[in-house]
Amino acid sequence: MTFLTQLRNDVRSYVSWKSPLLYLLLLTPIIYTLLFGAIYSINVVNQLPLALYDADNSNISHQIASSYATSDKFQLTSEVLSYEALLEKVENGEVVTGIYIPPNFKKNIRLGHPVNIGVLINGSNLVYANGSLPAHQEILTSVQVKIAQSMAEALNQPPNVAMNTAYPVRISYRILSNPTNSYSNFMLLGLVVNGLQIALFLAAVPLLSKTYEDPLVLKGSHALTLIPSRFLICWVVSSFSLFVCLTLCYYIYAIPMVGPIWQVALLSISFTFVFTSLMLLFSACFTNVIAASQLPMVYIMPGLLYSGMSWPTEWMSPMANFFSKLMPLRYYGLPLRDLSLHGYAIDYTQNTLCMFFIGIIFLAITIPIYHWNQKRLLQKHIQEGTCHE
Amino acid sequence: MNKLQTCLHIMKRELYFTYVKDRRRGILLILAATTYLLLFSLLYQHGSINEIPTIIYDQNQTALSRSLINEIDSSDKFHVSYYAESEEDMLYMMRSHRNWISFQIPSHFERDVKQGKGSPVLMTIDGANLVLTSTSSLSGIEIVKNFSNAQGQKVLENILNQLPFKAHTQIAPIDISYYILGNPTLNYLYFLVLGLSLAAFQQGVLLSVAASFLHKEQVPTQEEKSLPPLITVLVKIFPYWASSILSLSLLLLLSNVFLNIPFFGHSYWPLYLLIGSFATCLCGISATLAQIISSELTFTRISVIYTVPAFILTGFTWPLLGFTPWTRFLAWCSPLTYVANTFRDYYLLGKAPMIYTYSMYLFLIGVLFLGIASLLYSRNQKDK
Repeated sequence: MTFLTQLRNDVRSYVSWKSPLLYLLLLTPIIYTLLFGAIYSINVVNQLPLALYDADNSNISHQIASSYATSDKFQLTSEVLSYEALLEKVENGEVVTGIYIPPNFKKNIRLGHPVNIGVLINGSNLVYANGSLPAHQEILTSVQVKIAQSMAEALNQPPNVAMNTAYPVRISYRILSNPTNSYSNFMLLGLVVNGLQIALFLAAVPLLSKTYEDPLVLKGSHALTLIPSRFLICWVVSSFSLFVCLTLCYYIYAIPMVGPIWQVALLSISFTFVFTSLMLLFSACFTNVIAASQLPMVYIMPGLLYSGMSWPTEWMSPMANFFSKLMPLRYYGLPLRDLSLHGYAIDYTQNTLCMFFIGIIFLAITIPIYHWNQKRLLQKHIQEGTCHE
Repeated sequence: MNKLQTCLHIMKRELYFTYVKDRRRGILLILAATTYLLLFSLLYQHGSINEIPTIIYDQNQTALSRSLINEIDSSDKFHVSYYAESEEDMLYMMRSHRNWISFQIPSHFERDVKQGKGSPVLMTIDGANLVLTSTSSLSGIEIVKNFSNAQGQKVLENILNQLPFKAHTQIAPIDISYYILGNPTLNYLYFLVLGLSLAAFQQGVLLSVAASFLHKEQVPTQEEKSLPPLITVLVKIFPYWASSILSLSLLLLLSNVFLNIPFFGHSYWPLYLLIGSFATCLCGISATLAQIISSELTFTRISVIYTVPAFILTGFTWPLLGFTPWTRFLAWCSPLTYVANTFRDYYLLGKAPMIYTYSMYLFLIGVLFLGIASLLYSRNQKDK
């Protein structure tokens, strides 16, 4: 069978609405995009429930309470009458954080005695801790500076000098590329591409392993025509699916795409190239379709989390870094996010070329493996009488 | 053969298929959760981000600016890796490296601080990775604030002749004590690993129970047909349920004893109750879907596609507070949502007030689905 004939047959079989391949490669990534985009659409968690125990009840403590009540970050949902009640609310998850203002707070400040404010945070979810800590610091620092300023003014310093005495070194920070700390900008692209990976795993892996079960197909196929044909179909459909998903991210969820579109396109094509070829390699190695379909279980979460898109690769142990380098998403996800947010990616060229090159190697290895399995299993089918020579 | 012997025989056959004939099933069931635990404990081994490469652009070059730089460098969080000679140089280095941050000290820093005019310090962070952004901004704010307090105290001591103790109290009248319950060191290992293991646990149970009904070599025997459908389904599923409890035990052993994830619960029984109910729910759902889907390949595909959404929908990372109403509704339709956060809260905080309520919900949902599964199983057997 010639390559074109094989391709024509495969297009008829797989590029049709009756074929699971289209559903898997198109629908799965699109559903992931829409679902995760919707989940992260709020982008920043604000209005964290907060409880207050004000044992002082003075104008200063009321000022602190008022600062929290008017802050975007927190929602003052309850005031309690004891520290134990405050602790219980935080531990039970009724509130995310609690503030404890001790008795004689104002009196001790006026007397120049050290005073302490307790801030309790439910640390089981670090998004709460990371979100609330800077906000607490900001609010309580501004209260502290106001008090220190008024004390300095009491020592006959003019107001602006008193302010600078209280707060001589101020920190300003600028966050490049993602100034609003948007969670969508941080994670959505990685989850979308992970969805495509899963879809490719499930769609592509049975493509060759299923042929091992059918002696007629096995006999009539040739590795040099079958593998390129099926590779081409998967690569084109998955690339199209990826472009659709990136477009949805851009138009529906406002994920920025600052970098040149041609760079994003080339990077994306190189990723689908290497991943499709890897999946066909697995497919050639696995003679059991069910086993091959369960293989993604090992890869789904590690494939995303080891890529460096959430936990940075610089802070992985050497062994974890070694595994990370085996994850295709590392070579695509990080430059993709950089192109999206920065407009450039420092490792763009090297990663793109690397993925194309490794993809070619995978394809080159797949052909002899499939050929060897084909011969072996045909022999077995002949011996079992399920196929004639 | 009496009914009890029949039941035992069916269970023995399930165990044979799970641990001998179709060993993948047994491996998934027992080892999926612990594999994920080990894999991700390797990833988050360091727990938190330290020694962040830092660029310093010191336009002041005085003793005071060097003192600030020293504070930054001597902290755990930052490691001064480059001294920039201009703002362009600083930004170029940030662009050329991923996950670097910078501090820019203005040219009149020391003069302005000593003259009581105040001075800003600009911290620039790459916002692409929020883990790095939150870690570095928290620590940067803390370091500069402490440095500021020390300088303000010196002003009060030197210019206003205040005693050191009094000056300190006047500059920093309020001490803020942070109590971060459950994870005081903001360790990502404690934050993530348990939930990821439970996601793998879920898949192990779903796939292996479905295989019990769908595996092409595991056709129903005369013994299975001789029992009422509900009993057959329960007996077939019991070995998987029991194996899942064994999997949980392995998970708890590894996490507590080998990985030293601190356990604050008063006993492990509430966790066993929660996971036992969860496993019941999963067995019921899997058995029901297996009767409808009738192809192991299709079931496997659906189950694999479901894994990541199920994990994200739990609110384990991005909290449910940050969900829109309809996605929150969707989240509560997933059994893992009732388990993941509850498990972590009980483990790390020692408290999860809904643990018994959620266990009951999951158990009842499991019983309901087991009933549906047995009806569908009976119908399928009649059709065959």
